[in-house]
Amino acid sequence: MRRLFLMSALICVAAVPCLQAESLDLDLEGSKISFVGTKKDGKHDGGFKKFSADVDVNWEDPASSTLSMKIDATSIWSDNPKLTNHLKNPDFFDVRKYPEIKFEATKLEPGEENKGKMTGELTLLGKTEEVEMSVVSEASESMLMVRSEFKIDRTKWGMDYGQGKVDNDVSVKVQLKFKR
Amino acid sequence: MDLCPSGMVEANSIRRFIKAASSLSIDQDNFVACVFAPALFIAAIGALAVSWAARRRRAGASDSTCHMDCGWMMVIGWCGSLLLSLYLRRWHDSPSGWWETVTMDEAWTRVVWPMGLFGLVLALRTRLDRRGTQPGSDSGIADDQGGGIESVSWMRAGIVAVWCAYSVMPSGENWTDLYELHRTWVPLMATAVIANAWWLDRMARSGASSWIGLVVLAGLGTPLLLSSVNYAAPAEWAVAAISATMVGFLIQLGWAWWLTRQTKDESEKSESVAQSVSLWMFAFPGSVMIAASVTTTRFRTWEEYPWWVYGIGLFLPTIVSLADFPIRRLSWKVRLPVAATLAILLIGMCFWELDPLGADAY
Repeated sequence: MRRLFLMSALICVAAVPCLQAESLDLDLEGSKISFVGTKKDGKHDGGFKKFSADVDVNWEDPASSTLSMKIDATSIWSDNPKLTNHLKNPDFFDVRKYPEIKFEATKLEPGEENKGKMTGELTLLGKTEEVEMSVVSEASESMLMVRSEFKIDRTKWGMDYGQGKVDNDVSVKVQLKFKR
Repeated sequence: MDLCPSGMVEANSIRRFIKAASSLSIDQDNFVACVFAPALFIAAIGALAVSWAARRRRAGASDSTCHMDCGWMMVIGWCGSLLLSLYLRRWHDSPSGWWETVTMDEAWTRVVWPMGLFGLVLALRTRLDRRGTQPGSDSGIADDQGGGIESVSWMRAGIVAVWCAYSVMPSGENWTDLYELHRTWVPLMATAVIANAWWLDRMARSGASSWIGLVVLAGLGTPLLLSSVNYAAPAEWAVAAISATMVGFLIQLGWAWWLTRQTKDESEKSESVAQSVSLWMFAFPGSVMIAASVTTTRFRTWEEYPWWVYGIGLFLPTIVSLADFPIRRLSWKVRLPVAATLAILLIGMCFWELDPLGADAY
């Protein structure tokens, strides 16, 4: 009886890690952060080449998972070299003064199937504002993929350049691939 | 605005004005802050300066005194118009107070303080040399007319030029990778300021004082181009400087014309009058503005521009003055078109290289 009890306890202890959060490594090759800025007579694509993400996934209780990201603002790119140069300047991202963009998820709400809603704090140009986005996740034995498309109003973070000529809303696409 | 019987402006009227100003579109805001307000401000100061100088002249003050009065007031007006432009453009969105904005927010805005202070001090202390060969006047090039700056003033100008250059250098932990550029650009900017002011002084003394304002305006062309393709705020400030210089230049012409009509003594040439205003309104502050704008762009661009673009940006007034030197004794009808052609050519080369409106424009 005693042996049976000890065996059950050992099995439970061994099973505990499955209930805890699992830290995953970001696969930078399979991940992407891009945005689209629009104006009256056109649009421009851009994104960031260097970023990192830390995620702790709780498979049993996804809502308690955590996600934080750091983006190297100096790695910004766009479809026009002159625009890239301008984006780095204080008119837009001021990458010298604010070399890092941060995102910290504060709330995860799983939805139907693989969809859900994520709320977080985005720190840009030294200012932190809340953003909400819908996310789609895809998991397999070897990886976890999280995708999201959302819009932000750049003026909320003080990025006021070109109002009236350059649209305030910027479409952002994030694809994060984590290795298991 | 409504006026109470006591003459005080109602606070509600001010609030309504501010609210109306805040609702302007970006283009309207730029026009008001970068063109209209600086022009209006310096026009008001200029009118005050001219009327003050004219009144003192009628009261029996010497022409030297009247020149100085007009000169230093115009310098204040010019620097004040730039400060006003900065205030109007940045007050809407600056998270810090407006004082911090115009004094510490960014390195390139700090240059207005040494520039204004120096212009004020030197304008107050400037004395006209009637003849270029007088002791204490600058030696070297023979003058055709009177007027000039004491040699000791150039020493002060050199010190303040270095001060201005240091003011413009960005510093802090975010700029450590560019600190090696400070070693090159501090002496380069100081040299550009002194060289431009010195050569503009030469042109003024050789009969071009009525149009060296145009040379300063041309000198602001390349900095404006460089700023416009990199960072909008210094470009807007360059536009404000152009607006203020243009209005100041017109005031200077009007003042010189009026004095010509008043002056009976042929030895009191109106050129010498225009010189004092020209020198301290245009030469030194304009030279500082030109060099500061180019230097600001150098530190805030991630593009590699050819060295000659920066060279033209920094030294255009000097280049034009050097080209004018062999023909300085000819009529302005020859000198002005030559200077204009050369300036247009140089700015055109920069425009071609920077290509702000070309295929890569966005």
